[in-house]
This record gives sequence, structure tokens and C-alpha cells, in this order.
Amino acid sequence: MSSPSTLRIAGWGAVSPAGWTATDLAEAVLDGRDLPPSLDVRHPEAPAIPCRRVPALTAPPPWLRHPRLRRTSPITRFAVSAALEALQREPTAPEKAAPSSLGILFAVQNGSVNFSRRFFAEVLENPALASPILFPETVFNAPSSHLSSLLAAPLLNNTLVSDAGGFLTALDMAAQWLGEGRVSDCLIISAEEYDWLSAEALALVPGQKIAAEGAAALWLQQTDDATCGQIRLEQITAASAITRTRTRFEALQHMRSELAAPDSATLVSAASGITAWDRPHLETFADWSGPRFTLQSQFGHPFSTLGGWQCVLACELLQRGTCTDSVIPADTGATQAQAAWFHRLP
Amino acid sequence: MAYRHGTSSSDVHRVVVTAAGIVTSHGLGWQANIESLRLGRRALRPITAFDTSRQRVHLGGEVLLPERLPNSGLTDRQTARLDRATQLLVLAGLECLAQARWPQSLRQEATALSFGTSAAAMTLGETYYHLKTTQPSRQRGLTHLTQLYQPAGQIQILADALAVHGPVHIIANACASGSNAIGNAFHLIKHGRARRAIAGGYDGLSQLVFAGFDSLQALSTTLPRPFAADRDGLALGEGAAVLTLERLDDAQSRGADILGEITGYGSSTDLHHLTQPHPEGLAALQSMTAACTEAGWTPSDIDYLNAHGTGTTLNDGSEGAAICHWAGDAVTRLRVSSTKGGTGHLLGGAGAVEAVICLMALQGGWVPPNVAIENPDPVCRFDLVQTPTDSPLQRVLSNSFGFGGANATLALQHSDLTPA
Repeated sequence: MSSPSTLRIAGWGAVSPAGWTATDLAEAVLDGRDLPPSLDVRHPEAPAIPCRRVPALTAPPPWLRHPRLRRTSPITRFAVSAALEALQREPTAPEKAAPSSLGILFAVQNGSVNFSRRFFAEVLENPALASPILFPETVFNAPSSHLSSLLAAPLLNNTLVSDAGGFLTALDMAAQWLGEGRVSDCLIISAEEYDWLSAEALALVPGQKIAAEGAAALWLQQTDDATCGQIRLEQITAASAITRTRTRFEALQHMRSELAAPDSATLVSAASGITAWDRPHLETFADWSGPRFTLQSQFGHPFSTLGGWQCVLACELLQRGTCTDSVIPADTGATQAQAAWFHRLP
Repeated sequence: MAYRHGTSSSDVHRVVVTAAGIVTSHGLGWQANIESLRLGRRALRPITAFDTSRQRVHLGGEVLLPERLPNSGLTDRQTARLDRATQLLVLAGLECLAQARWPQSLRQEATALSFGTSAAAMTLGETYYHLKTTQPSRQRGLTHLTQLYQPAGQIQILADALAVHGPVHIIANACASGSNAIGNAFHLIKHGRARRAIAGGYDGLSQLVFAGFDSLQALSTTLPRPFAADRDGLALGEGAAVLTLERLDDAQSRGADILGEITGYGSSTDLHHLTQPHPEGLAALQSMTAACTEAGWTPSDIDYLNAHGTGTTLNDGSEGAAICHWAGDAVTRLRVSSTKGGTGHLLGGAGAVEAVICLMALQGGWVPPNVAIENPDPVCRFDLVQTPTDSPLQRVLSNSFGFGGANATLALQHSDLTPA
């Protein structure tokens, strides 16, 4: 394994049903704020879908003036907002003072499903008139492409398609890029937008998960400094595959056996509040002695963004001095289990 | 793959390809593709996968799928539910693993799975949408559609079919996805984060994507003619390629066949426009330069370049300019072709399929010809190969560029250059 001396989490950002900043997300968790879902009824015969949406902005942010963002759907806007917050960029001039060697990793599950659904409806209606404005935005990597353009970042940019564990997969790849010296900084982002098409798919999963939308971003930076209060990426476990012959519980057990964090660390879990679904997770961490936080039962399920929200909450807890170590297991997906460990230097 | 603060190693490993499976409209498998590609045939046919009667274009690189998939680790129920794209992926995967001759003990160890796709199982998404809009109250019979629609579900199917398991990376960088996935696997092994990998790319034809490219007026209404002055667009195709990547020392110690060595990978992002490359191909220049820097090559070392060469006005002009700029004085001796005139554009599968075509050319000592064109674009100051050409090849490059400005280049060399 090749890796640099220290990978520092230099910034983070979030968009969630609690608001457009990481602080909004953290305070909603710490205050135990109720975020009541709304009910989406798209057709009288269709199931009524509970969902938690991102609150509308009161005024358009200055970065929306960028020409690449004019036609974008919410997924890109959420991603841009979280990314700029993570990079601590002036929203009026996002391209200025960007790290000179910035890689971008974008984790996604549904992508721009608003535009995909609209475009396909147009195709079925009359393919000759289907809109060339919508189609390019349906491509999975459109949001991350817009980010590269906005931040004037011409280097590496990968979009990873995954599930709720995708953010940690992207974080792992970022550590790889930094370790190989291919970039000096990495922006890891995930974003999802609400659409009835994906929300009704989620409703097919037993347990009545509530669809949510939003974004999360971390700025990961290679550094040789070790300063007081710095948040360091301590570990990412190898992804442990869930297969036909290896259950989710076994994959979680394997992940736990590789995790070197102390049991007293704060666990920011992916538990959903649905007992049957959570059982493997709860059994895996049954003996965990540290405090536990969860997001899903309060915020809903934001698909690939869940792991990102977990990471952002962990950073907020570490920065506020609530803990010195935080562990983020991403175990809600059907693909693989993986965990990250963040540490705040005293 | 894992990261742990405070641990580091500067060890690097040479990475070789020990097997490859390929499915395109030329045929199923390595041999059928060689026979057609070597002659520069077109394998475009009327699309039957969906209704094109209301489109301007009706041709594409549609694969003639077998009536039954070969036996694999999949159950009959799993097999019956597979969409086109996943069938293509499984077919290529089965050929690859049969060729790799991995012993059972190797299959039981964790293997990195790095794949690229763009549309993935879009046809299942289309079916789901159709059912949801025509029968809004319907709940039954939808779960498997939503599960297999997810690219992670398709890779799970492949893993089951091949009886392998391991960490999964699915890269969706539009038409560069396949190259990025192979490049990612190459770096995982090179830097010791994975011992071996199965990598590749795949995409199937779908109505949504076909209509999308038509809406952009990117589809040829005649026939695709990459690098022709009068080119009028691309043809969409479908297919898959799957490769096994191993450390050179591992491959040699088990006596594996070595198809070629991956020596470099470059990736960059074109900031110019969401769907249009910079006219001078600045990002293409950057990815080719990065791949050659890693490989330790100069342009004069390259025997053949498999261009992205879609046949659109914008791509071929931009890529041609970038190749000329990059190659400098060596440009007139540089042999270049695009194989998309024959296969169509395989989107997320293109980079992987074209990497395998490069390996075939390295192994067989021939240059895959471009479809013959009467009037090459003046940008073609390089040697645009248009006729079947036998020639020993040592070092080749493969370019893949996609929407969103995703650019990738792979550098591959003949196994003769790999130390025994």
C-alpha cells in the first residue's frame, strides 16, 4: 500500500432536508429536530410516497450565474453548494484559489432522474422532438463535469455509481489518488435529487424507507503538518463484498474485524430505524461502547448520499469537540460493507 | 484495498493482461472479432432491440445474442431476468475467465472488480417507467427490475456467474468509462492495493440513449466515417469486454499466457462544454501525455494509436488536432485508426473493447484498419490506416473521450517487451 504521511479532512459541506449547510445537518441531529415528511401523490392510483425534500432557497445563489449551471436539475445544484462549502470557496468566484491539483470523485446512485424521466417521456411521445437540452444532463457524470468546470479543475474526475456505501468507495479511491501523488487535493461528493420514479422504487423495499435528497462533500488534502484540532483520515477498511455465499452480516463482521478504531469512538451509523433491516448492523456493533448517532430515521434515505451525510456529521462532531474519534460504517447497501475512521488531533 | 494512516510503501508492480473476453456486433468472442476487425469490416445492421421507426436513423452495431447463455454460476431464474447489457457483460466475462485458467484457489481470494458503464441496464429502467406510468398502482413484479437496473446489481450478477468476489468500483464517466475502469484496476495492482483484478466495460443499446444521441444530431444518417472530411456522425453500438489483470510476477509464476502489459494510464477533464470537446483537444493532449509519461514513452515510440474517432465533426477534428500536437515531428509516421466505423460507438463499453482490440493487434501483428474513406479530413497529418495491414506492433495507445469532458488514454505493450 502506498500512502502519504497524513490525509487531512480540510473541509466539508452538506445539503439536506435540514438546510443548505453542514451546520444545519449537525444541529438538526444534535437538537433531535423533527423533520416531518411530505406526501407525494403523483397520480390518483399511484402509492402516496412520503419524502423529505431540501427546503427551497429564498434567493438564487450567485454561483447559479455560471453558464454551465443554467440548465441543471437539483442534483447538480445540491452538489455545487456542498462542494463550495467544503472548499470554503467564495460563492461569487468559485474558480479562484481552488487547489492547483484537485481531483474530483462523485458518488451517485440515481443521478439526474428528473431529467431522465422527462426525457424518456418525450422520447415516447415523439422521439423527433425529444429535447437535446435534457439529454446531456441525464448522463451520470454531468454533475461532476459541471463541478470541474466551475472549479476550473482539469485533472482527474471519476463518477462512481453505487449505493449508500458509495461515498466511502469514493473516499477510498481519493486516498488512492493522493497516495499515488496523482493529485494534492481531492473533493469527494455525493448528491441525489428526489423524483417519484426512484422514490417508488425505494418504497418496494420492505420497511417503508422514506426517500430524501441532498448532497455531501469532503475536501481531503495531503499534508505533512500535524496541527492541533486537525481531522485526519485514520483508516478506510477494505471493502468487504456481499455475495450469494457471503451474507451482509458476514461482510459486516469482516469489516469490523479489520477496523482498528477504539470501541470508544463515536459511531455514526447507517442504521435505518427498521429493526429487520438493521439487525446485522446492530449485531455487528452490539458490544460497541462509544456513543452512537444515526441519520436515516430522522432525515430519510438519500441513496448514495447517506454515507456522505454520515461523514459530514462525524466531522462536525469532531470539530465541536464532542469526540476525538469517529467511525462511519457504510453497510446499508447490497454490494459491500466498508468503514472509515476519522481522528481529531489533540 | 484499504488505507491506514502511517503505513506506506513505494513498491510498484508491473501489470499484465492474462485473459480477455469480447462481444461486439462483429461477433461473440475473441476469434470472431479478430476475423472481422482485421479486415476492417462494418458490422452495422438494422436495430431490432427497439422500435426506431420514428427516428431518422435505423442502423447500429447491434449484437446478435445467442438464444441461451452458456452455463455459468447463475441460476436459471437469474439468467432469465438478464437485460441486454448484462448478457453482454456475462458473455465477455465467461470467455475471459475461461481463457484466464484461474485455479479455484485464486477465485476464492478477493479480486478487485473495476467496471465502466454509461447506460448500464437502461432497458430495465425503460420497462420500469413504462409499467409505472401505464399501471400506476402496480407494485408486484417490479423489485427485480429496480435491483438489476442498478449497475452494482449487474456486477453482482457477473461475480455470481464467474464465482468470484471482491471490492467493486463502477465508473460512469460516459464514453471513457471502460478505459477509466481498466486504468483504475491497473493502478490498484501497480501500487499494491489489489493483487489482481477483473476489469472492463459494457453497454447495451437502449431507446433512451439512442434517441438522446439523435436529439443531439450526433447520429450519422448515412454511415459513420471516422476522420472523413464529409463525416456526418456516429453509429451507436453495444458490447462488452472483460479482462483479467495480474501482477507480472504472479502471472509468470503460475505460467499464465500474457496478452500484453499495461504501462500507462492518463486521465483528464475537458472543461470546455458538457458535450463538446475543446476544438484543439487540450484535454486529449493531457491524457495522452500523462499515459506516455507513466509508460516512459515518447510519441516516436508508438506503433499504433486506436483513436476515439467517433465520426462526429467535433470529436474527430478535436482529437486529430490533439494527436498532431502531441506527436509533433513523429506525426507523419504515427499509424492511427478508429474501429468505431465497424462496431459503432459502444459508449461505456468502448474503452474496454478497444483496449482488447489493441491487445489482439499486439498479439497478431496487425493494424486494425479504419473503415475506408474517400476524403480524409485535412487534420489527418498522421498515417490513417484504411486497409488491412500486417505489421509487428510493440507499443500502442488507446484513446477514449466522453461527455462531461471525461478523457482517458491507456498505454499497452507487447508481451515480448515484458521481462521473462
